[in-house]
Amino acid sequence: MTHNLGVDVGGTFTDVIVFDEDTNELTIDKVLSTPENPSNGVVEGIESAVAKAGTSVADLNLLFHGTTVVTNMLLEETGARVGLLTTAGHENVLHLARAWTPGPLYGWMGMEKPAPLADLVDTRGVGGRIGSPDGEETTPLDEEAVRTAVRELQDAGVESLTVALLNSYLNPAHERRVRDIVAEEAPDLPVSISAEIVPEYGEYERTLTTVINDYARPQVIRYLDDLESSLADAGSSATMNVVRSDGGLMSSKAATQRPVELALSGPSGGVVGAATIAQKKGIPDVLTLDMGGTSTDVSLVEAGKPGTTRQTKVGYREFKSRAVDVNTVGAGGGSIARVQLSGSLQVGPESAGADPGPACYGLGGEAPTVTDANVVLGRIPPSVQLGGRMELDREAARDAVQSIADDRGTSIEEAAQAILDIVNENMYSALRVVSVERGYDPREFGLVAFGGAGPMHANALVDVMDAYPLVVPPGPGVMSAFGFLTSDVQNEFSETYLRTDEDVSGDEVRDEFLSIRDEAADWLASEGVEESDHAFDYFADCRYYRQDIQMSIPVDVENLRDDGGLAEIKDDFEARHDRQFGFSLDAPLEIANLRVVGKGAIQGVELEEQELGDADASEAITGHYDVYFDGEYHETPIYDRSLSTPGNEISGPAIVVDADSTVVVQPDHVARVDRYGSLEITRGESQ
Amino acid sequence: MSNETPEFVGDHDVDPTTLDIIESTLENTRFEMDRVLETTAISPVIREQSDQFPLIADRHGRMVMGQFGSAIDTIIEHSPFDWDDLEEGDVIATNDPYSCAGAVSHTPDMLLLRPIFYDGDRVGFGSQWGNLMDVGGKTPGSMPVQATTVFEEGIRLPPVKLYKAGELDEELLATFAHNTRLPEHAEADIKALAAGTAVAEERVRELCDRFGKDTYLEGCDAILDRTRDGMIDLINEFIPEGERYTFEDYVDDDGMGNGPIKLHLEIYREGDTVYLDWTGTDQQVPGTVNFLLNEKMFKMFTGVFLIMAFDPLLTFNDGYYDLFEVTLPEGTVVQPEYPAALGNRLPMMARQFDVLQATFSKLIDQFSVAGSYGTSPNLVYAGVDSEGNQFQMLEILYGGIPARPGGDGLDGHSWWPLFRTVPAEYQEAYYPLSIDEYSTRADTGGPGEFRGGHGITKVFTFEEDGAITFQDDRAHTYPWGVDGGSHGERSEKKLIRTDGTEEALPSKVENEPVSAGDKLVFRTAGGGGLGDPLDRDPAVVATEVRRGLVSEAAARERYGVVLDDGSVDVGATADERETLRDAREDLSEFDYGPLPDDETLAEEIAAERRTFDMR
Repeated sequence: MTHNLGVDVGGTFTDVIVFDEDTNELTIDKVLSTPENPSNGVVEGIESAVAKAGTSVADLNLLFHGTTVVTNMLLEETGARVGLLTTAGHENVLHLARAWTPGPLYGWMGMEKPAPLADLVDTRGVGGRIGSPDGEETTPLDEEAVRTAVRELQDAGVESLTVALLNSYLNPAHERRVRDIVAEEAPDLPVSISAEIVPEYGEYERTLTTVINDYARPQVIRYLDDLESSLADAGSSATMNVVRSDGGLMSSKAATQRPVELALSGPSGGVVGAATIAQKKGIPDVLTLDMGGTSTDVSLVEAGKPGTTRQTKVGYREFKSRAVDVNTVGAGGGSIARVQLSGSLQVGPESAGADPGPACYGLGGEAPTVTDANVVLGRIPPSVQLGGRMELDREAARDAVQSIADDRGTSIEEAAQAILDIVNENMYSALRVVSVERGYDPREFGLVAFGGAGPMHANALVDVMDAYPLVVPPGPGVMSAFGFLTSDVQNEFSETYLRTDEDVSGDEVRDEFLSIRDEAADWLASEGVEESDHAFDYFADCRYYRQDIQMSIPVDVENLRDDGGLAEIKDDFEARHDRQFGFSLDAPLEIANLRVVGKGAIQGVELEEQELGDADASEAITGHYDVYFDGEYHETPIYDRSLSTPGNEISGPAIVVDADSTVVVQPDHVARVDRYGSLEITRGESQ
Repeated sequence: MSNETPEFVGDHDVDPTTLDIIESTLENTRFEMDRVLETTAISPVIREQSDQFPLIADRHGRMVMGQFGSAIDTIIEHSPFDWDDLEEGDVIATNDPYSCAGAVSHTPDMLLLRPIFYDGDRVGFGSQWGNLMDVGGKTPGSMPVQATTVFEEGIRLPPVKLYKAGELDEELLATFAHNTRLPEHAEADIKALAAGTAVAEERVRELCDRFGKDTYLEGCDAILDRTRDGMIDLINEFIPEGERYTFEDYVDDDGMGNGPIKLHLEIYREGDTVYLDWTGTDQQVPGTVNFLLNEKMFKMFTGVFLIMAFDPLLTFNDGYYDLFEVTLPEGTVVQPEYPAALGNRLPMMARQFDVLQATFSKLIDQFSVAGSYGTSPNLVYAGVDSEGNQFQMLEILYGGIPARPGGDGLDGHSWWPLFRTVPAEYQEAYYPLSIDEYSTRADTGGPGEFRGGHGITKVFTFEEDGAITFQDDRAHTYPWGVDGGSHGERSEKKLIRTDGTEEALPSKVENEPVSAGDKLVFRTAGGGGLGDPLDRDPAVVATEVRRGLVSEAAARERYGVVLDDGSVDVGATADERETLRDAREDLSEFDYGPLPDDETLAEEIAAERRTFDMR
């Protein structure tokens, strides 16, 4: 029992990392995913990776599993048939949504609004009312109507059931009673109640989030059951941890209860891994850039901690679930460039995907993509096989990019450079949303770049943003799987509070926090975390009375005692409000929600530190190639990253070829291999 | 007669990629301005309903990026200061429609305008406006139904410097806020608007840092120019030259018994120029539904329609203004004379959009859109609760989106972009009322191959004595159907008093007293249908019957779809459709619904108001 394993199931590839606890060695493997039967691909990937690492499935200690199963289910609408019970008179809550249509004027003419995930056919209203804001029952629950509805829905063939009643965030008594009735009438039907999934006001978002939970549940239950039994058959007795959207872990049992928490499971791993690596290097504040084939995820890490958000969006649907605050933009290697009617050049969000993919894949794609532009400029030298398998069709790439050059009346190199400049700009905009817009100056941050395409673009990007150093971790193509290994068991517990500093004292707020902490402690215990390993973070979501801001203020509960009161919270809130928006108000502080994040540390991986050696990296040079930088071709050395050693310095321009990604070092920059095998790129020249 | 070609037309010495970057940065800035305002504002109309409009203009005040077109030159013209008097850190504020030629079209809309400087030179403007909760005047919310002058609609700031060289004029702000019913809201929301304009300043300056001031300024010209080029292509491709097309439609009434109120539009093209003429539109009315239509804003609406219909990725801005020639006759309901009341201009604004899209539907081959639910209905409920605290709720409601090319209209959605419903749980937590029902009004969207969206029913139970003021329309006229599609159904309002008596209410009501326990049933109109309902896919009709969105009777009578235990009876449906086809008259291009003649309709409207006033 000496190996831990991280596995990241994506739409195309399943990435696996094996960590040997005795030697601190990491083994990376990549196999094709099997979307038609996801657990098969995972088991094959695990078996292949442990074989490569020279161990066996039976030798695995901890398993860390991230998956896009839920994300894909939402995007492709392949989840379960969900029944929905609402308060009578509010059955159309999902159908009417929030009336939103996109901008600008006339945006409604082209709007596509998918049907609710719980069909109106399977939605029933039931009598009974909880009053607001006191949370007292004003009309008793119509239990007969509930029984009838449950029976009807079960007969109709629903596979799971959501209960979402008005004002349940104030008092969940009716929802709980409905759940008891469902247990009597339809004991095998999975059921979720909204007050437990999102105990916050806002009936549309709470209902939607809970419906998503039930939409995903039957498949997630089946999937995790299959996976665990397949692994058991293969001889494994490893503990399975499933990665949540907020980068924390939960048991597979907890995952089957709350699959909505897995909606952004994949992207969170990369951010957590990047944060760990940067922290270890002594750069606690970094931006992260994860650029793949169709999109780029960016986020901000402050003091080693990834930012989190409560607003999660998958396709049209915006719901409430705690997630790493990742901003996604449709900019990837497969993003298609086209010239608009007005003459402006647009890159993405449309993507050539994996099939046919960029023109240079030679699979019949003709549209010019970002990858084709990189090929034209020589940034992907002939020695590279994209996706590890195909020879590049450089002629096809040139033909595709030539069409843009013709439209714009420029040389092919200028057209290719324009495509890169625009796609970089799109990523820059996304990075600004998570930094500048939130009051952070990117110049005070470093940038960690990963994903298949991230290291190719990041140097040009940091040059514009001045966010140095740029760090390219080892294995940038499997960063998420690596990140899983660095995660902790984690879950968040919250309640709507809606009280102002004029209504309550610090002691009262502290008591409330402690009662939520008890709930979190119970959960950690049920996840098998020893009490001595429990840790808790407290947050108050604050705003000026009636604002919609909900700034999450970290709270030291001990300072709420006695005279301390709420002053510390208010001061912190006002400072943040002023930094971000440039003004403060003479208004009461409203605490909208109290949150407690309960954590239990798990040791999944140890980063090994190596001695720094010689700066001379010439041993790693495998050849030279003409690469286009700053308006002209440069004879540029090509390095093999696997031949480089800690301490090596590589002066730009240079191309560093890795197994799963290519690193571009711009002119006037230098890349150093650090003690952990990361490339650290800064402006300047080698010593 | 045609407009002069603007000076920004021509060659631009700016690298095309730099230009694209400037354009995309400005576009992102626009959305960032909204996000800042939405998160910091207190008014639920701004934060939950996104009733706000940001723009970034060039140094001459022309909108380069934004939503509504710029009236900056008009504002400066109406102010006591000149272009040269603008200083770094100034922020101009106005909520007076008559001081900006209707750029804000009623008094609750507060507009903030910040000149942006770089190295001492003016390089542009950032502007943002939003709907304040209250600016004083006759009724809570400052949108009285029965007012005849703008003086009854609250305090008006002419264009003044609210910030002078970065210094907030606290006394001015306090004076303004003091004249409103919700001074803390007003103050906070105005500061939030200012924070939004500061975002524009910061981002424009960063662009100047990055590319140089001259390149930025040249870039603004080039962005205007290439939008203009794109618009010339759209005009030439889609608008036929030579023929003149007209359309007429009506706003029900002005809330004082006057109506129906006619809008008349004629559109034709000569060369690159499109002429839009409102001659034939009715004279202004005594009540508050007059709409001071800003000429540039209307050019913007027209251009945006063409862009959204045919090339949604084209940036829209003030670049194409010289391509549209607009006639807005003085003294009509779309160009009322000072001091006409303007508070409830939304029915007129919405109808103006209906008429514009109808005229284009006639004009453009293979492209039609039906009529809408007719306004942005709003409701104010205000009073003093049993504990002596004042309360004032303002809510915008939604109805049926018109059927559109290739798709059904959405049920109970907003034709105005980015608006959102206020959650019932928010309303119940902060105001003394409960929401008993919020549902789709089945069968109210006009049948068609693509059906119109349905209206909604919202039922409020008031828990404290108070008064309600609301505005809706399409209670007498119908949202029209197009190309064989049928009209949508009309709006309705009623009060159910605690003793069970029911009172039907007109669509526009001011300060109607309500008692704790009274219920208001607020029903909005559907949208019109598009295309022959007998061509609608029977399987879709059957699904909608199962979902409760279309009744089984309507499926049979309007769509000719016969159901057998919920599924389509294919044979019976074919027979039923043939029977219906044989029995009906030829389908008309527009279906206005069973309207009486104008005189009878005018008498009905007057009688309704008389009866209501005399209760």
